[in-house]
Amino acid sequence: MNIKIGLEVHVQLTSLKTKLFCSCSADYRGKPPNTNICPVCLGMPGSLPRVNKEAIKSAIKVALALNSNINQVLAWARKHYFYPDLPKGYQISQYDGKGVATFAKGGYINIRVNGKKKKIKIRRINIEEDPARIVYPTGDAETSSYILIDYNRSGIALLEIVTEPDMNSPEEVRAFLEKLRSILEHLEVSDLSLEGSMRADVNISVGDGERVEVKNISGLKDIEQAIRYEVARQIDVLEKGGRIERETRHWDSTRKITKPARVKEYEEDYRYMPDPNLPFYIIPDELIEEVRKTLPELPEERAARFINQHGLSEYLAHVLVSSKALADYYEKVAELSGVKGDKVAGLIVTDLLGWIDSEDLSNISRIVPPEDLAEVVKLLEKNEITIKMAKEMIPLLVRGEKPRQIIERMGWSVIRNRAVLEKIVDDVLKENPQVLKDIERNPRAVQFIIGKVLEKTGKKGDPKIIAEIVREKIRLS
Amino acid sequence: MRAVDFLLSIKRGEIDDVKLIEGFRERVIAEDEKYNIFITLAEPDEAFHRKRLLSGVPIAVKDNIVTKNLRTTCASQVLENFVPSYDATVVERIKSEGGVIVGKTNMDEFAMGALGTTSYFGPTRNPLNPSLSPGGSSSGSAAAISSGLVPMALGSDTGGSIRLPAAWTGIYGLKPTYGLVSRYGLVSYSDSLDQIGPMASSIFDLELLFGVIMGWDEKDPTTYDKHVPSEVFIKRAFMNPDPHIMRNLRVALLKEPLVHEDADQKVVDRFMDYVSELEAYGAVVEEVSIPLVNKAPQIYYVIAFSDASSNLARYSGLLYGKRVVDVIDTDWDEYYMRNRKLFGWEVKRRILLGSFILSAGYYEMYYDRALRARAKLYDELNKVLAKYDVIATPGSNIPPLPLDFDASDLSRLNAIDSLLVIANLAGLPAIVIPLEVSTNTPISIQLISQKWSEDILFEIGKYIALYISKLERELEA
Amino acid sequence: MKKIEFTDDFIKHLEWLARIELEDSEKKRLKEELALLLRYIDDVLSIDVEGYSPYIYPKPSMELREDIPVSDEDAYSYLSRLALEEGFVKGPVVIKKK
Repeated sequence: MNIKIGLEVHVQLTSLKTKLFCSCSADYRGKPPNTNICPVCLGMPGSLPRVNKEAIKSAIKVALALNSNINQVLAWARKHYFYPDLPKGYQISQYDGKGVATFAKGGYINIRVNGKKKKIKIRRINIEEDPARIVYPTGDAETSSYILIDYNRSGIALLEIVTEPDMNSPEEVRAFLEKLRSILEHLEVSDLSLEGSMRADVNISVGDGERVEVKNISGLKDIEQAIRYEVARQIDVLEKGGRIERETRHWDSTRKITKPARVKEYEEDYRYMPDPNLPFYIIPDELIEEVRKTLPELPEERAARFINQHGLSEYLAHVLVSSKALADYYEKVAELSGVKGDKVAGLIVTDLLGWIDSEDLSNISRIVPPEDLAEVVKLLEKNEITIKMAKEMIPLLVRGEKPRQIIERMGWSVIRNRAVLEKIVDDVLKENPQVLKDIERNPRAVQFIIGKVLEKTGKKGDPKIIAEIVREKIRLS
Repeated sequence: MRAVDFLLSIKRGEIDDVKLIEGFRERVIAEDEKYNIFITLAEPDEAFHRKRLLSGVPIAVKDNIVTKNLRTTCASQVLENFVPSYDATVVERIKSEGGVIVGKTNMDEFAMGALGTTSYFGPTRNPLNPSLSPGGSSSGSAAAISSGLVPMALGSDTGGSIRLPAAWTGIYGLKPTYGLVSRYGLVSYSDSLDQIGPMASSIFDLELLFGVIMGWDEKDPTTYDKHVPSEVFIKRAFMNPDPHIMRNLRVALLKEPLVHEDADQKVVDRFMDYVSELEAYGAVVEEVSIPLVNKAPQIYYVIAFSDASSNLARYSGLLYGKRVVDVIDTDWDEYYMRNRKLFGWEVKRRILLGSFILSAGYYEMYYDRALRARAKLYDELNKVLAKYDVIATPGSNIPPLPLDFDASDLSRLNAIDSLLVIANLAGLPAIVIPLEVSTNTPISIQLISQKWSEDILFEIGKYIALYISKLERELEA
Repeated sequence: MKKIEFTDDFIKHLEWLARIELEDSEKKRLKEELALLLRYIDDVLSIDVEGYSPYIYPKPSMELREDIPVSDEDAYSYLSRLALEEGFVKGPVVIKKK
């Protein structure tokens, strides 16, 4: 069945120092409730908003990176809805119409799924304020008899990035979100590893069914889970001969299911209007150019550089740049070890990543310091350990051990002494006279001998030297 | 006594600057019983800044301008217990110049009304004639001055709310150019029309208070920094007007308010006597007609109701104000809808109609059209002001209305509304200058000039006050 | 746009839009006054606004604020006067009660 998925992603601009419309700190996490507030973000009567210049610059950066067209006139709209987390009874946002315009229109992000490239179109980008945070005294919305509100988050700058319904599978959504996250990380506008910094509303339609919106899912993992659940649910309904009506559902992150939203007497009418407190701001061309000049290398350019200059395979290059932390990590290890290319990248992507929770990617440098992995690479390069040993070392490094300690504790070090190895080869050849005779008919017999020798060295023998010795001996015999 | 004289006496060491607030509270309590002027009285003490521009001058503040730790109700039951945590910028500026805030004055609830009668705390009476309305919505500020309690006060003017009470109580009032006085701390009614302005018993005091409160404020994005510096007004408040100001002053006499079907012929005739005097002193007076003026109130109400429905959406009883329902054992919709029953009828009907105007399908029909009609009016007024120095109208073309006047049909106020709201809709400065006072028919003139040109209004005002008006003559500076 | 009829449903719709619960007497009064008010503001519909933009901000462009944090102790002390629970503001549940 044909699946169509569109996203409305909300990301906090976590690199800002202040909120979108007031000078309260943007660093609200971990503060005691309701201590990071002022009349503006509390919506106190008489207070007025003032636009954070840096927020506009961040939005310009993102729009440029997503190939989106920035509207020259920055205009703000009030979106009215009534919810206890919204102190003014409206959210200051942006809108396409009613005399105002969205921040930027159009654009795209290229994603890769199973090696296939695809372009996901962006519909629009808006800047808006985050509502307050609601906490349930019992921990659950259903059983709480009241709610608790913390305004520390109220007014934090958000970017709303809306896509066209271009994604056809949960895998594509994941690829899109990872790419988006990586771009935002490279732009240094958002650290999306922070709790609640990325939220999404997802529109899903399956087959001939109507569009279903799943609202307010937090975090990449839950977004993917919610989509998988919802797609499966809709397919199930359709296959049983049911119909999918247009509706809004909520993601229950505890039970990992989507639930129908409560039915309202009437649908919410947002009554958008231009915010008369915020006159138009004509974004100067110079400001856009200034931002453009400071645009860093973006994931796609970085992957190309890895391929062209480091000789990386396309696959590994794109996996690395899917996270800024990961790509940075690779470059650091390459720099420290003096070795670049698939050998290093492979160790990171196929081995190290297998032991690290994807949520912890941004902490990769703290889990295994790049100096440690660089040392492993150097040991490998000097043939002091084998690739097999290197692979076995990774989980120990993740546990916090140092490469030298591991080698010592495990009694690992590669045997490269020719005399020692020749003696063992002789022993093996003596023990297996049959094999020597077969060698003319069966070239694989050489591999067999090498294997036996390696076994005898406790896998510490240098396979290259062993192979040389074996070949010499066979020729001699 | 004029504040300017008082301040000069202090400067000369003739009197002590605490003199004006001595016994203030006792005097207020006596007068307040007659006119219902104050909602909340401050405790005026001697802890004001000495040797500043307004040191020791008692100043009344309209109760929709927030004052730190001093209750601010907007004359509404909804905010009956609201004690703000911050000062409006204008209040900050007054305090830093040594002015003494003596209390918060009565007004129409949330500034919605023309008669001062929609206050939750009961109507203010006109000191010239207690059976009549003092005009609204800055009714208490006007009465505080007219009754002699204070020399100056702050009002706010969204559609004539400073100027109508000034006209009806025989005092001076100025609605500044939109963007010339900070609205930070003014409880919003209709953001693009609201302006705080000075009211005073002397034109010199009016100019002094204006000089103190005016000017760009980083907290209000709609204020503008290209204006005549405040020092100019402060200096001129102690100076006589340009003696040649009337010579060849080009005055456009607006026809519509004079021939309006509801205009009072006696008021118009008496007003015209004064216009003849202006001519006698050298002014060139010509009649101009702008038919759109008669529809200005309708444009005004569409914008003001819509903005009001948005601005008053924040009053839920959660963070401030009174509540009839507590948070436990209810749900958000019920909590919100029932707490908002505390609004008075005038406010309710404006929110209800405003919400409707902004709702799906009606925005373009009413709101967008009203905004464009406003631009047209702006254009037509500015065409006149390109040829003339000022546009003149009566301050009111009817005598003060009785307190029980039924304004449920707003078209009954079209005669006064139309001459007042044009300045708000076009963002132009407008001054009301009293010409003569009597118990039933005070006469005044309104002058409207180009944006940012308050200086000419004060010069003409001073000239009229000194040489033309039949008020107890202002002493020459 | 078809003529607006002041039915009970329409009044209920307005109550919901504005989130103000009305008494029966107020509903009756609203119907009467809405007729008067709408008749009055309908004059706006007859104004020819061809060629006019909806914006007349008196200043050419707004200034933006620098991204420098300032903390506000007063706002905190204001909230601390409310009945807080472990620093949180208490609010009603969002899910409708039966």
